[in-house]
Amino acid sequence: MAETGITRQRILSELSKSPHGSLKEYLPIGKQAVLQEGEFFQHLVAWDRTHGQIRDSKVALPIVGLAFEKDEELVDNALAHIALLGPRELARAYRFGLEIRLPGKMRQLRRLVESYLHEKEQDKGWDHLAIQHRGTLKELYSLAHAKPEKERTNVVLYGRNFDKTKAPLPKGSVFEVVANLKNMSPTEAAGSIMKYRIPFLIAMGALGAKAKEPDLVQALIQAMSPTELTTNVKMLEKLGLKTNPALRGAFDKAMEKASTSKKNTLKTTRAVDAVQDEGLKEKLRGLQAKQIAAAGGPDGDWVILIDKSGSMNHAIETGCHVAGAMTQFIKGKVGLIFFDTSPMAVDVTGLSLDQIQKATRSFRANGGTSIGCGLNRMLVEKVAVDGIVIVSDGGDNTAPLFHDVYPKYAKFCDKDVPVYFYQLSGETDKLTPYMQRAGLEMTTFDLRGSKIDYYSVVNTIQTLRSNQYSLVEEILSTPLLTLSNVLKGAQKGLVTV
Amino acid sequence: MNITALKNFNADRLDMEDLVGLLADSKALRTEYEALQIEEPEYIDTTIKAIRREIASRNADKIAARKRELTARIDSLKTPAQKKTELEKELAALEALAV
Repeated sequence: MAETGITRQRILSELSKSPHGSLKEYLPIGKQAVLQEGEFFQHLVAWDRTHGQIRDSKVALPIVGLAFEKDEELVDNALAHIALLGPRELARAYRFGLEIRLPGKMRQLRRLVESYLHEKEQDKGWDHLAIQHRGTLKELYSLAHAKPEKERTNVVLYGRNFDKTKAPLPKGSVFEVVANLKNMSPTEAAGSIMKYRIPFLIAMGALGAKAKEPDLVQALIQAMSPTELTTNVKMLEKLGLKTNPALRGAFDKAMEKASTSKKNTLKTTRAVDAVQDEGLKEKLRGLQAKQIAAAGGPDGDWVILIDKSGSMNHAIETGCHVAGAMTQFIKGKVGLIFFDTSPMAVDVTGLSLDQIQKATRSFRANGGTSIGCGLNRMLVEKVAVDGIVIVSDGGDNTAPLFHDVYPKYAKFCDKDVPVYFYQLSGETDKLTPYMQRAGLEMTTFDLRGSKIDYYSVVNTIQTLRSNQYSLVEEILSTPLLTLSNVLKGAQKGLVTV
Repeated sequence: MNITALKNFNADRLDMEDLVGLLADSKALRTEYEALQIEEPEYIDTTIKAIRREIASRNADKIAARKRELTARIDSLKTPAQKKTELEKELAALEALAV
């Protein structure tokens, strides 16, 4: 790769940010990545589907891959990952495709959506899909200029037969049950929700104010997905979760189900902050620990070097957020070293964010910047770690400088300890050019010019590895998919570049 | 066995599987103290009691939830004729009460 090109580490650090719905933010770096590291990018798409925590990237990356990739096999992988999206995400992906324009590829995408919809129609779970995504499915049919293959689909979505005559909802179907939920007694409605596994949001909408009845709250808890459960704990708390034994029982059962979910670790993190009750907070923390164990994170012991030199108050705050996320994801020890021109150490292993903030509230930003002094302390005290995180502006201006100490420290540890740099705004970054000139690897997460984004920070933590090349290897070993594996009836000739 | 987990026992953080595991561990620990004829630390007894209480309480909650679930499921299986009969009975009872 040319020296001016993009590195795989940079692709990872840039694409692990959360754009909070603004999918276009993936475009500049994504395009560069596809053009220079096309195969790696497609493997990243595959890896992100199973390991990623940010839904936006699952929607945007396959579209970016489809837009700029020329290799047929890699285009097939992008299409396969688009076909794996849920209806709502597929609609977003399609709209994103329209927005960025996919020269010569829009027809492929349209035919993919058509195949997707027709295959879903044949699926046994179509009723369940349609009850939750009726509006989105209609939108997708319209976007793809497609028509339902089955008359029943047409009736459910548009209320009409193929000959355009009005038709009632199919008798005895879940659609009819949902329409009648509000007329049923609470116990009957609760039983119907459980029997037909009516999704939480649909049941809530259909029940209206009636949803506060304990029987219905219990049915709703059972209908919730793990993500819905964690995001609605506050509401359940208000509806008597702590005081009603049956609700507690249902909630415990739902929590056990949620504990194996790898999808919603970030949501659980936010839910802990939202809930008032300490017992519920602890339950959610316990759930989060199990989800993290299921999702996996970096191993070994880690140190976070936090810049507390003059005007770096925001580094102290960001450092605490990084530490708070790391202590949740890392099974080993996590140490903080605050530095200006001298280091101060705090062991935060196993502590939560609020506990870390309490332990570090006396630290004030002042003095010069010697990033190396923190590492030097570890060297003097002979403390070996498996990874180093730096939270700073990179204005390394006082000896010992980090790039001078690092080779000695790596020699002491007998390995190249990976270095991750959370770059903040402040003074001119000297650390990066120093490291480049010394030929030392460092992965940078650029947090300059933006308000600290908790989601992005937590997501980046999952990409940290105690062996700096292991994540890249892990990504490259994730198999690519083909459209024919995902859509059995994928139209022939869909993948022609 | 994780002694720290026993000493810092927090029922809210654990699910049923963890609780049962921890109870088995703490009982094994108590047995070992007895076999060695060493006075057992106070936290073992306190923790065993707390875990038993928590397991019993969660079991009761689980049963209450299941009972309600079954009642609701049965209710949703009633035929219109059954529902009509019940409503008629309720109406008759109300009319009997009416002054």
